[in-house]
Amino acid sequence: MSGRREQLVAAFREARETGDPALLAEAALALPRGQGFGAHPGEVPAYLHEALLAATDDRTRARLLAGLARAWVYGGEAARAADFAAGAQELAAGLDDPALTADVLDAALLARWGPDDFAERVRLAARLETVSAHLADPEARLTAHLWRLTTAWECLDLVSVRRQLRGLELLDAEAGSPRVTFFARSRQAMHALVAGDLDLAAALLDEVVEVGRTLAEADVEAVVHSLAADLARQRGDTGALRAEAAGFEGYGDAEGIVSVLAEAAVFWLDAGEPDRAGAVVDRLPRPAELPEDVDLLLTVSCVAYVAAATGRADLAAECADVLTPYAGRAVLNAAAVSFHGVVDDALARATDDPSRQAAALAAYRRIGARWWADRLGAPPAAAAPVRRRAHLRPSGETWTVGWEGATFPLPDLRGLHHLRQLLANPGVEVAAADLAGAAGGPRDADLGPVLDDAARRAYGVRLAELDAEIEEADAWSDTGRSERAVLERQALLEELGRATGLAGRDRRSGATAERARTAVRKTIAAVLARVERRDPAFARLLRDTVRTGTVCVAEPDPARPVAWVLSAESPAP
Amino acid sequence: MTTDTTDTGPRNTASRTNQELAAELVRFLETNVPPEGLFADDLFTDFTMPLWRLQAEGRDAGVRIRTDGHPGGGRVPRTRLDDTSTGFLLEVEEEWEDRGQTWYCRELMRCDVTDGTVTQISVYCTGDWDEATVARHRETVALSRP
Repeated sequence: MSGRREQLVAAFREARETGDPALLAEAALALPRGQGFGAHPGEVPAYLHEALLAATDDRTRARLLAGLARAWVYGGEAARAADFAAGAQELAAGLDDPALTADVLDAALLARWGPDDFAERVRLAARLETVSAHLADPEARLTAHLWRLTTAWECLDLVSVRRQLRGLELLDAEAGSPRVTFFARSRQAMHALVAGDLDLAAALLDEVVEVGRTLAEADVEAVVHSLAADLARQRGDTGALRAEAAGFEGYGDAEGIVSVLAEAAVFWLDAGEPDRAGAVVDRLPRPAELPEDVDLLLTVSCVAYVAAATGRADLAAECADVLTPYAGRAVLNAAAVSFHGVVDDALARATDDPSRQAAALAAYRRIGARWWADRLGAPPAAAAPVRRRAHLRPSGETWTVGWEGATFPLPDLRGLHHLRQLLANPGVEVAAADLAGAAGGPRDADLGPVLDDAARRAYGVRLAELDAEIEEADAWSDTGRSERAVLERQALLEELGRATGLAGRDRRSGATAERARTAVRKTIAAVLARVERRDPAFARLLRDTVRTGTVCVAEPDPARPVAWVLSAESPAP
Repeated sequence: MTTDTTDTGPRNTASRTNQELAAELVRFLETNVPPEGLFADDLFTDFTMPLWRLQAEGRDAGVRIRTDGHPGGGRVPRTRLDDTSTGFLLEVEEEWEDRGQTWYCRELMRCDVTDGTVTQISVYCTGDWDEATVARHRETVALSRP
């Protein structure tokens, strides 16, 4: 038993001697403070229960029920916590007491800390923040910030992460409490490690160590060593990392904490000791046997990392089965003590699935986690689509149009000149007035903006998908599916045409520009109608590539690369 | 000490990052009071609801679309921010109390940013779900990524 815990138990026994239920309750409620996270709760639940039986009012009973929930979650047996948390909420609902409401919301959050309770946890954390915002008690506000920070990290909500870190910083400045300083600095250090600012992380860790010495907090050591291990990992300091790995393994074995052992395995591996890492994961329960609690994602992600790196393919596959439903989430140690990457990272390693790797890299890029992205590496290059040659060029009195080997002649139409100019300058926006002007028409300098690039690319991807779907449906003679895809395609193209005026804003083109827009659209449409009759697929390519409006542009689809032959002389094949 | 030195968010042309603008936008959603400088004077608002669409020219008119439809004092339990070539995309969940119950909605907001202020905002909203709708949805739909 730790010294802190012994003191708290002694205080409880003294309170018992007084026979005062209020004193007994306060002493019992202090007991969970002495618990190490994940370590067996010992006699703490029994003492809380004793105080509950002695309590004489609902407010105290609600607090003790919340305390029981807290003790069981801290004790690694979250399943026992749910009924106590629910009982606390029920009692508190009848009492108009914001401080009590905050306390029971904390218990409810603890009881719903498993990966399947995430949506409910997000809502509860937001409500706790609202309730706590009106409380002067720094402990209640600290708890609310930590929950909001944790749920924000879980879903990689960086806006909320930064806001909660700022909230912790302000609370620290206002409260003047070493305990608040400890939590504020440690979570700032965790953020700095995610962002790869190792100097800042190291400076913050020094402060965490310093202020931690003044606290009788059970988890100070766990927080300090988690941050120190991450720092050593990112610095490539294998000596320091070996020391942390040994410490984690020793503590995990002594207390029987599976997640701590799983972290130890990761640290051994990154410290260049794959055999020791493998030996640790081999003595852990199988992934499917683990409880669905706060540690599930952490434990299984760590095991997946080690299993994949040490050739334990079956174990890696078992990890993937457990982790798959939680793709898109972050992996955290407890209340955002440390960041262990994203679930997709572990899935990528466990399955060699490039789509998982791409998802993980996208997540890391979005949150600025460069170290994590770098160690996962660049996504494997997808097989490059075949680049087809296509002709749209003058050929004597006529034009040659179509795929290489399947060209057809067309008369010299004005729309062909417009198309050629656009295709020769892919991605370059050309005013319809300029196109028309090149053919002798007027121009107008005030042309409206066009759809932004990101949206246009997204529409392009969907068009490519629809093309593939149409081709597949046609191949399978699935006319219903084909028609639906064709209709969606037409509708999407119409919407794109409308969107060229930017989300419903009035088009700013003047009368001359409007005339040019109409003229260019009609001449290109006339060409496309002729092409459609000869080669519908080629016409579709042109429709998808070229956008007309007050501003016209050819935007090649990366999924359908084309080498355009636009010059008058037929090139060598 | 602040963590500002670890900011990795792309900066727009003025001093404020998309992260900072998004945080101010969240604050606006929670309070119905637009932070100073969040929206440009000539803000263009394009607001799409499930079965209706509104547009407004100017900051005050855009803010009125919001305040006319939502009481202040709500919560934004979660967001997702993505940078775009013209600004940012913010996905939010909202909760608020009104007429004796808790309401819920999800919204996607595409913001164009010029000189550190939002000049155009396109909002797509699920509409307001009352408690009965939230409960019915929870009972009938199992979301794979809630």
